[in-house]
Amino acid sequence: MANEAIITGVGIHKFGRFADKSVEELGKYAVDMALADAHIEFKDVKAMFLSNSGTIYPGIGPKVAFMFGRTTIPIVNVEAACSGGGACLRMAQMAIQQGEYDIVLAVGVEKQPKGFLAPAISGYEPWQALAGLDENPMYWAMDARLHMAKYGTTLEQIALVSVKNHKNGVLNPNAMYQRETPLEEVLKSRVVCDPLTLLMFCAPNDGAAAVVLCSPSVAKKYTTKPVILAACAHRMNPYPEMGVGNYFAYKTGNKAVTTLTAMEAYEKAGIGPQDVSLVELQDTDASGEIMFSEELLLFKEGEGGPAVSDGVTQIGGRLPISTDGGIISKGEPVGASALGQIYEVVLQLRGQAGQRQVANAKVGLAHVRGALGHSCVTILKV
Amino acid sequence: MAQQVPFKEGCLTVPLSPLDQVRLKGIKCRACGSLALGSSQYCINCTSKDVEPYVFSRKGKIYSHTVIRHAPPPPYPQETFKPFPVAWVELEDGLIILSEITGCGLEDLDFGLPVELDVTKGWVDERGNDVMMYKFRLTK
Repeated sequence: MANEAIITGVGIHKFGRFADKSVEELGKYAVDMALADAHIEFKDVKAMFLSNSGTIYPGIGPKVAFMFGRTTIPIVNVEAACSGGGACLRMAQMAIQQGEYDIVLAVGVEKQPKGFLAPAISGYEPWQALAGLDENPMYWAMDARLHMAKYGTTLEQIALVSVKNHKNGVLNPNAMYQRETPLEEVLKSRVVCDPLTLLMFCAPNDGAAAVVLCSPSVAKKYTTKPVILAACAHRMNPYPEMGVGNYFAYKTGNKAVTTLTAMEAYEKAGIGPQDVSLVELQDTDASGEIMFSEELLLFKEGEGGPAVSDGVTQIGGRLPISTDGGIISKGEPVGASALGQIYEVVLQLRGQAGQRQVANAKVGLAHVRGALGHSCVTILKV
Repeated sequence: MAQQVPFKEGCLTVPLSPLDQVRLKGIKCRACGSLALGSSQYCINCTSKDVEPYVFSRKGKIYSHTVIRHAPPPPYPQETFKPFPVAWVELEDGLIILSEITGCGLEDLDFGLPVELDVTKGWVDERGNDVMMYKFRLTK
């Protein structure tokens, strides 16, 4: 494509809890890092999109930009639940593809309290909250039960996702949790929603990430290690949506949004699941990693569990997943998490991931799935 | 005297008493056959406007299940919280609905177990009305 978007810079503020830092400061840190990585200054940016889950305040995009002085470039906030960063990247990609802007910034920022997300963020109606039917993990627990019953996926395989992601997180200085969790510890941590236990879940937290996109001609001027944004797709889940925020369904036979979005991304990129070197996906809970690895068509239905227990998805395996520890280790700053995935994939494709490096990484896939049915799938290549 | 109001407009048949006569209601799409809870001008699946009102069966079975072991976030009353089982219940008609399950212990649920609609007072709204909420009760 003439105006294929090229990633020339990435930045991240460690994911964690930073009571002494404002959300604008988190954003500025990630943007500074991405600009330095791209060898440009803020004044070179022609348009900016900023993702936040809507919890901060509506003017957060411009406020982060104004940390670099006043600017007249267009700045638009993007909100798409846990897929916000992906939707933001999609907007930035379209701005480059459309041809009017040649340097575009995609930023994600978040600051969230500990514990369950506030009901409104996930799209719950007030009556659902009053009835106590608004706890996100209950959906994942019931999905996990169905997957276990249908395919023989074991609780141990689910726990092994958490073991692997925590192990990878130890190697990632930007992760909130940098501690290994042995299988027994994961299985014996307190039950949140049966059969899933606390150490199988991600935690909402604070963080920021930023990505600089350039047109191919401009990218040549600034980088010798271009990473090509081969595809970025964003879709909503068709009926039924048996996930976060919902309370009724009907078996329509429709494909899951992750599959629909992945199919669109594979087609746009001209790249198939068999070509993927590494994957970042929505490991909100450990069973989700198994199910999404199947919905992304990386494994056949029912083979996601054995892939984990056979070591296929660990660093050094055939298809490493969540090499940065996933959000199980990093925590999930909702508006920023997807761009945090892009940060990791770019490092991997440039060969800059240090101890986490996947050998010969050529194609990386990043996937997010959020409340209301949002999903984004991004494919990067070198 | 407190009025009785539904948990959500368009989801329960009226009148709201006697309670054992109250049913969940929604729509059926004449174009694609999909069922949905509550009122809507459009089919939630195929967007057809050719939809008709539909009253759902009181009976169903457990499709999947779990237990809420920690108090849901406010405004759910934190001080009175006790763990409770929840399930996706598949009604005889094919609608699948998320519900608290009553009449059983935390460990008693399994796939396919029969349940029946149980409409009771859930909470009191800001106007002092009794909000009528659906649950499903394990029937054996």
